[in-house]
Amino acid sequence: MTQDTILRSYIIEELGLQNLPEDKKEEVFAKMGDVLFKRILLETLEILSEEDQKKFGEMVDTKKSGEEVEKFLMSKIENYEEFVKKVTDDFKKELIADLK
Amino acid sequence: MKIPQKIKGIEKGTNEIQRKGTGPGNDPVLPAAFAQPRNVVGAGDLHAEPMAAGAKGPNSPDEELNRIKAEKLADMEKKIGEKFSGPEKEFVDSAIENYLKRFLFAKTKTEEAGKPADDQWIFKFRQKYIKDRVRLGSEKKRGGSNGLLDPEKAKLFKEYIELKLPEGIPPEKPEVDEGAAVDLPEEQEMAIPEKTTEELRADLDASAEEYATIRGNARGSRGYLAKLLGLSKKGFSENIEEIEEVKEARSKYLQAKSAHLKAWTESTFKEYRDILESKKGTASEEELRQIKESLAAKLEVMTNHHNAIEDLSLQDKFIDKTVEYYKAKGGVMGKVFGTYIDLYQNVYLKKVPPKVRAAISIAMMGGAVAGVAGAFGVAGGFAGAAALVSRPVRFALAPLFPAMTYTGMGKMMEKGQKWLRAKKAEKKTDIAGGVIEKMRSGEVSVEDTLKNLTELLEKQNGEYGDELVKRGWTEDRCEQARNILTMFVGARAAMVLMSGTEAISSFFEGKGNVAGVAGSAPKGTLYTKGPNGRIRITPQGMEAIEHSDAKPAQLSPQEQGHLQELAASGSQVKTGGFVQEAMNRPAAGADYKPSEDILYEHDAQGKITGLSSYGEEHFKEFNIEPHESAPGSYDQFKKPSVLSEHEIKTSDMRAPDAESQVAALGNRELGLSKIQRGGGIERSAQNIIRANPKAFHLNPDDPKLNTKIGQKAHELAEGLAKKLGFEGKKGFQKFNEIVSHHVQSGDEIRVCQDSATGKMNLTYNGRAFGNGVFTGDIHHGVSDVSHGSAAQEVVSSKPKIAVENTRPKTGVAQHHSSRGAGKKPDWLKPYDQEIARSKKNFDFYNVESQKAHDALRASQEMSLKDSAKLSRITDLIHNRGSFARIFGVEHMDWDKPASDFISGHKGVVSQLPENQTWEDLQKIKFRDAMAKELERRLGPAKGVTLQNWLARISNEQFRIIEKSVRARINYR
Repeated sequence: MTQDTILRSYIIEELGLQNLPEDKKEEVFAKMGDVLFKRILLETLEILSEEDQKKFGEMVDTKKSGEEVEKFLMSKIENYEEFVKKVTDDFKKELIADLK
Repeated sequence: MKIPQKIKGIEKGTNEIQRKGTGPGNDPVLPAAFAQPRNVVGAGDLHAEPMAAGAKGPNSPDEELNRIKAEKLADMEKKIGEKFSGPEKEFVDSAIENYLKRFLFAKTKTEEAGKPADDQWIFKFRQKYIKDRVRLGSEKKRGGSNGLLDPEKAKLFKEYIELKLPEGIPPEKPEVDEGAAVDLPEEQEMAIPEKTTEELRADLDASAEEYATIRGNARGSRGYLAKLLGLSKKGFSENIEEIEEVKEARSKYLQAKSAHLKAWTESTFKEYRDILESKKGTASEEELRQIKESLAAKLEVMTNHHNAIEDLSLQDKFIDKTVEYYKAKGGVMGKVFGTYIDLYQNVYLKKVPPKVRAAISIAMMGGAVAGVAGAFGVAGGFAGAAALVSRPVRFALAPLFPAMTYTGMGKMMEKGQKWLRAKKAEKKTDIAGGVIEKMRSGEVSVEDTLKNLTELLEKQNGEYGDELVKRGWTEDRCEQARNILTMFVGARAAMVLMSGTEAISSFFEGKGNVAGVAGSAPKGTLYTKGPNGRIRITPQGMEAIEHSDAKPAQLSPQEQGHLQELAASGSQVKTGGFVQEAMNRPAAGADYKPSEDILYEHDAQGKITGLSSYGEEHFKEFNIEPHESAPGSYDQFKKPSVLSEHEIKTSDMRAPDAESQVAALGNRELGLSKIQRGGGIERSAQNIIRANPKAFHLNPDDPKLNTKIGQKAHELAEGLAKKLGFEGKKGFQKFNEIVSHHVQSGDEIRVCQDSATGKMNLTYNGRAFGNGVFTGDIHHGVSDVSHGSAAQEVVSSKPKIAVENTRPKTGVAQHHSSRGAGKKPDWLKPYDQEIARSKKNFDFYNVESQKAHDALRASQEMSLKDSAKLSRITDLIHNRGSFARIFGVEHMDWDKPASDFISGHKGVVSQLPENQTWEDLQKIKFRDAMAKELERRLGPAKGVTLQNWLARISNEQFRIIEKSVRARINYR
């Protein structure tokens, strides 16, 4: 998952964990990626209607392409890009704040 | 996150009323009972009709009927308790609970409308209510999330609700049944215990879900608002129940949110108070500062939550007022109303700070509509909104600081916020800075942070996972979604996670010496520092000065400041000129001579040591031998093309020559591109235009940009063909024929613009039309017909190849050969230039230690791997072959593992010493960014060859990568 890489480069450094052993880092990266994606997914579902949630689920189940799913989400949620950014930003801030 | 709904007793499956002695004869029906669970007092009486005077005694037929009904109800409740899920039971409960409220509301409205709420009306209302509830419970849209009732359950629900709801007129006020009070079940008599933060959070999650469900599928949309406002086809009165339902759910949600926020805030303050008390007299100033910072950060989060509540509350007010307005207008939606909704949507859906939104919303309520039917009399709304901002937080503070007044707390909070803002501005490291500081001070160990982080993530992962499962999203499905959305979500997330980390990034990247060395813009370097610290303007810098509209969006404040200073000086700086010189000689104007320094490399003492990259290009372009054997005196190398206009005009040259040189001086290069394999002149021209559309008077955001770029490139190609003698349609066809067969990769094209006329010209350098032949006003190249150009072969009879000059016939190849450069492949030239530049900059720093030599070597080696110039990023990544250039893989083994290759680029930045040039850093950053971006897009580079790895790139990915990398490397 790409978020792992992103988190590896930035959040980890912000938390001062860049000097951890690689295996430990990998463990944390994986967890962060899991949580962030779930959070984005949840907040997406929160906004989608029942019907759209179902359609979204079907698209995932039938393994539609990323482009198709992206198009669908952008058609259903205004400023989806901003929305994802906001969720991620919140995640980042809350994570750091919670650790303080 | 939702927790399982609290089941209100239906699961007990029994109607305890019969056993509790509130039996027959205790009518009339109590309204309070409508809201009571089925296992509490009075519930069994709900179905009973009000007793008339002279009620029948025991064992009367009515009593017998009631008994039978009660038994039926008890039986049904048992079944419901066994078969219905929690949410389904919730739905059944709400259907019963809401009846009284809906009944009274509808009755009032009916009577206000002058219609009788008689028995017939009551009967119809009851029937409709039952019908609607059954429908809602069976429809996906509404009942679904509460548990979609299957036909069997729907039938049971219908029978149950028919028996349960009263058939008569419920009394307006509940009458207290003194006798029944003693029979109240224990749970009703008990004081409601104060809930924990976790329980309140659970309540909040539950209410949030309920609200989200009821809210329907058009949140924030015009359709949703219309529904709330009763503007659907059915009309206002038809939808009043839905409106009430949404409002009720929203109100419940907001209450839960407020309650949770209050508890959360209280517990946070308690936590900090305890910390402070425990450290009383022992904590250092730094420690106290960190505690304060931590508290302030949390307060900010809480305030954000509060603002969210405020938003929704204001939304409610807006809707209420709007409904009033609607009613006042007689239910007709007018134009003003439509506009109002649009305004509303703009306010709430756009990115507007919460406080501003609040102010606008109130202003809208108090302003635009206030004059209509007096419905929006909310004068002083602004003050009200301001006063509300931190209410929960202040409230929470009260028990902690009893001596402090409410107003005082408000001030304290404001001070706290101000303090936080000031701290952020001061440190520029945001809240993360605190963490790093703590790490450094040893207050928090890496192990502690890791442990806390792991625990936190595991907790969140569990919560989110549970919630997703509840929504039907299993682990497998989530994983599948994750795979699909990797590119999309990952890209957005990346942008956010990278933002705001500038200071931290620079910390890891070798501190802040970069900004002091030179300025940059998306197009590339605007200026560089030359010997003695003088600032030299690059072509991109010139362009930025000339296109002032690009400044605010593309340049940093520092860069803007420099350029504004320059512009204000009134100087006419030319590309390659030094800012200071221009500023010191504002009157010089065109008399100012482009500095020869730009053409040569210098040592620390200013002695010329060789050609600069600019000089390379210059001499190559003008086909002039640079006399490298005798460096040290610019006069030896003085070439007409770099004479000042003044010098030209006053020289002994013949007039036509002088005019020609003046014309040449007036030309400005807009871009240079080497033709790629499989490419052509037009495509390369497109690349040049695409790299800087504004220079070609094109809007980068124009949706038809590509088309326009194509048109522009075509025009330029036609101009070139014309100059080469290929006129008309047929001539252009022949021109294209030559291009397609004889233009080779590595041939160069340039686009130049006449500064005086604005006319743009395309020039070409390659063998297809005779090597060294440039066309266009800027150049007076050589038609070296002895080379046997393709043009001659193909168009042997006609084409009149422009021969405008007979200056030295030393072609480019000869030129390089004379410098010994001809032995090197062409692609190495930029690397040589970069080495020369690095060396020069190295000398500038005048560092001679072995460490510095090593640094220089490292810098040179990196430069060798990268011929990319930032100003040509778009050009470079336009096609897949560009990656080869970016990473210098022309001489690499494509079958080597991609991971080896990537690891050589990632994270290189932070390992470099400070005495590198700004250009070096940018290039390194570019490769770093590109390596990361590639890995992000293409997946791990492990276990795959470089060739196969890069082959994964799709066109769409290319587009995104280009955008992303450009955005990233220009973040500074």
